[in-house]
Amino acid sequence: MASSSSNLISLKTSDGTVFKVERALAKTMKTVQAIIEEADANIYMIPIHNVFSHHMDMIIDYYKLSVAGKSKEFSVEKLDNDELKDFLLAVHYLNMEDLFEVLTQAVADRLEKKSVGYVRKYFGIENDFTPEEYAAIRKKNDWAFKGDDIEPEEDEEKQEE
Amino acid sequence: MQTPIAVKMENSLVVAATKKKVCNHLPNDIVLFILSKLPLISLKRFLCVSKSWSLLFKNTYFMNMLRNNILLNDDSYYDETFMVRYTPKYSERCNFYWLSDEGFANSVHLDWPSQFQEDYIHIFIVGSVSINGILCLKHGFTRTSQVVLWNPTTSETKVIPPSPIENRRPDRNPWHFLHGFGYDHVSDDYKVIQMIEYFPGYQGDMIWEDRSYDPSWEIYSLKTNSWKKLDIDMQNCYYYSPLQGNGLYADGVFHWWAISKLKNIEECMVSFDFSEEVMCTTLMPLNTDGGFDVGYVERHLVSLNESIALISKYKKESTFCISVLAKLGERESWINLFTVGPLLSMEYSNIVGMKNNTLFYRRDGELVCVDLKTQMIKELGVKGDRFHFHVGKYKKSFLPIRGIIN
Repeated sequence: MASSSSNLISLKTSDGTVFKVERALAKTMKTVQAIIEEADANIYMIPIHNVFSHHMDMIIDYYKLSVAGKSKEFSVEKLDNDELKDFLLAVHYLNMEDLFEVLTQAVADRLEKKSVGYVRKYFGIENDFTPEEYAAIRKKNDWAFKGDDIEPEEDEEKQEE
Repeated sequence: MQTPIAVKMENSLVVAATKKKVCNHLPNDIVLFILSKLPLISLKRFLCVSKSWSLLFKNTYFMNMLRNNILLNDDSYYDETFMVRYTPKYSERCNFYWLSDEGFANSVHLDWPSQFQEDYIHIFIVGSVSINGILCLKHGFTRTSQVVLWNPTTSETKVIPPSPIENRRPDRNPWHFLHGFGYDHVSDDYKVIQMIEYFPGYQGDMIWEDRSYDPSWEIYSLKTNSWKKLDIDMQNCYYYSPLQGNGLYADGVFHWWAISKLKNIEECMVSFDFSEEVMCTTLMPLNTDGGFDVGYVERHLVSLNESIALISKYKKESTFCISVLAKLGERESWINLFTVGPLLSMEYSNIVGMKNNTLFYRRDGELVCVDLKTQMIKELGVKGDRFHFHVGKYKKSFLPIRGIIN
């Protein structure tokens, strides 16, 4: 079975699936790497909490592409916002630098043109401004709300009608 | 047989893989990490998300990440750096060099084009960057006698014909010239914009009230090889000293920093869009000079990660600040990103250019540069007796100047 002399490391996801991955791929997961190094004896199976098998599938896809020099072809377009956030948390847990950069950039790209209301919902943030405070800060940065491709604010859209 | 990268073991205990949707709140550090990748306009808009988000630009941890990202995405588009070296008091010939990263010793001198063989004391490069390999040279900074487009890769030149006298004010004497060079992507044309300032006589401050002394603006199109008058209404109270007058070209727009001769008019950036052929002004950032002695401030425009940045150098404090503009025309959109210094002996220095996060400046007649990422200073070995410099960015191109146009 899996031992430090073998080429494959066994990772068990939260939903019970076991993935035997190449040592080089395991190395890109700093969390896993730390577990391997800290283990006194040879590790049989490494459990990775917060990571599901569908996350591992994507991680393996990304790894294959980056090994082939095609990391730019990796896309998370098909994931909805919650799925992307979920995946981001998994990759963050595994401490995979490159993929983390890619995913955070993907989230930033999705949010770039969005409205303030959208961003609040996305991050689950309450608007804690008083109406006066909001009006003031809104006015100060009004120019940042203007632009052809910027999503209009929901409440302001309604006011126009 | 090749070892597979990964093998997925069947697990009979798992009934179905469910994409469990958890209420996934991202932890704060991840949120900041994501935000640091957003363009500045988006960041300014999201200041309205909540009270803590409104303090984003005061968050040191966040600002460090933002600065890093901006510096990381430096311009790899321009592959060369050019340097023009002027003698003290511009008394003798100036020389053009390809500046090597290792320093002046490895830099390569290039002769000016033949149009300037006779006299090359006052040759200036308009805009500080090449456009499709072309540099716009002018002979004489304010008393310009000739403007020439030059591609140092191919050695091709195009002399810009002088503008017709009819375009000028008949009853006034042309005194100072200011130029801009750019590319109009809509009409696929190179254009040179020219401002003529008229000799004011000795009327003192009253001159600014008399609009008949207003400068005239004209534009030359390479495609039509002709000049036409531009209707630009700008008060004749700005001056563009040598460093500011070289201007900066970026993305179809030409920018100058304008300082007013009138005390009640603030400094601003003047920008000309070559496609729309309109001028706009952006007032200087508020609160940028706070605490510094503005008696000896020097302003310089550079481009930083596709944005326009204003460098304000405070002589007394040997410090400089860099503010980046998020949106053209919007004073509120200047974001103060860096404060560098005090730097050793920066008092008697002038900023002469910027490329790839490296700021070039002249200190005691030498060319020195500072890396914005590391804040390490490097001397480039151009020692001499108080030279002046202009450093800019260049990208090779073999495209013919006129060939693009039918």
